[in-house]
Amino acid sequence: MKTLKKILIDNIEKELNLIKIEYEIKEKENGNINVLLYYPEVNLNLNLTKNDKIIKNVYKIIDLFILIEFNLKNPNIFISGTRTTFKKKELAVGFIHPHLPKFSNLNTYNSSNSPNNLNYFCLGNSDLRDDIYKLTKIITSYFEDALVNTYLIELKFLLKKFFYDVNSLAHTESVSGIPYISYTQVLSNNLISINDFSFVLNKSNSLSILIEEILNYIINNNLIDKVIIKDGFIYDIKLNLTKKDVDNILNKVDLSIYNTILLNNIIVFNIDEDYDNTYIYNGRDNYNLSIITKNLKNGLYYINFKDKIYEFKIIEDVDEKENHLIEYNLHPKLKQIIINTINNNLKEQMLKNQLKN
Amino acid sequence: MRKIQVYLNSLDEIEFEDNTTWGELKKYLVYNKNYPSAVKALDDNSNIYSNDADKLPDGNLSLTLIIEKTNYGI
Repeated sequence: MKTLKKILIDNIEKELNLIKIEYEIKEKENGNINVLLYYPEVNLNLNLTKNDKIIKNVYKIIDLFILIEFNLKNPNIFISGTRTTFKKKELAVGFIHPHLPKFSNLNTYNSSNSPNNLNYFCLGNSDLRDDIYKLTKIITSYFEDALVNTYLIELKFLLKKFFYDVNSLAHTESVSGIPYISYTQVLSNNLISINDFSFVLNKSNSLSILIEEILNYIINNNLIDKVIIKDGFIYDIKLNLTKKDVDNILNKVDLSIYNTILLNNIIVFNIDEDYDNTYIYNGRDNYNLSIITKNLKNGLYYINFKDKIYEFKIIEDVDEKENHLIEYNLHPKLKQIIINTINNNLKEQMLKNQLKN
Repeated sequence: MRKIQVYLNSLDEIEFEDNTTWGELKKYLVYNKNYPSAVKALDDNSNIYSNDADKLPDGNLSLTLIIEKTNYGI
């Protein structure tokens, strides 16, 4: 009888051969399975509807590696990645992929802000996250001796969907560059956004002043495009921000208030820390995980894929049409705090009205 | 009539006529089986059916439905 590991490997090979992605499967000593995917070129697609017009952008990135770890011992699946070839403009802003954290140093090995280590993809609220949940459930049930035939049939369908979705993740541009950075922002070389405020989000004393400034600006300038209301309170707001608005807000806020925080935090600040919930840390197999090696002779880092060496390298920029659209948005946490502030004001107002009556 | 295995959140099996399109099957699943409207279907060989006019192969078939919820970030 086939073991789950064998069933998984057979199906993984079948699916990857069908969708024609280059791959390498490694069975780990502890029984886990690592699948390394390699894309020589990826066309990043963005289909965005703005004022009823569909804006299509296609950008090309080179040498993308995606590592999928099927952890069978403590059932879970992890998806991380990096690239080995960077254009100069990508390097300037630390761009690897729209759904991977930015890096700040190309030469630091094994640091979370270096491409020389694998970082987790942001999966947000996507089909892929659902696929992982379902696949994990099936793997768990196997070890609880509850694996029934229907689950095995489901596994075949799920793996097909999973790899379709992984491929889709590789090819999807970020709309607003949140929580990381979109390719559109790399091209525009203009990274000022309210995202930059995220370093003060956890500092409550400064935060209240900042929120007041932003809230006043948004209301006074009529920038709320759409309000979604649930149970009488605001659930979400869609803002109509432009680059000018972001600049104005940045100018209005007295950044001297944040000087201490800036000094203490901006150098080491990493936006990813705010996004713990976009990662799954538990149960990751750290043992001998890295696929990146340092060449002791020349000091260069490389990935060995199917017995071919892929060294980290920088190439010249190529001309790319700047037929793009930047969507400015608030950092999701900041947006939620603003919504809560408005709702609390509403509640207070309602209470006062009730007392009057 | 042929059998089509359909997978979205769970596995389902329906009987459906031969010589039909992806659009016709999609309509049937939405109106008769209360499925959410999928944008694509993948068959066993990972052929993609995404346009309503795409003809489905005749005979028994297995299809994985794709909704395409791709909000990895914003």
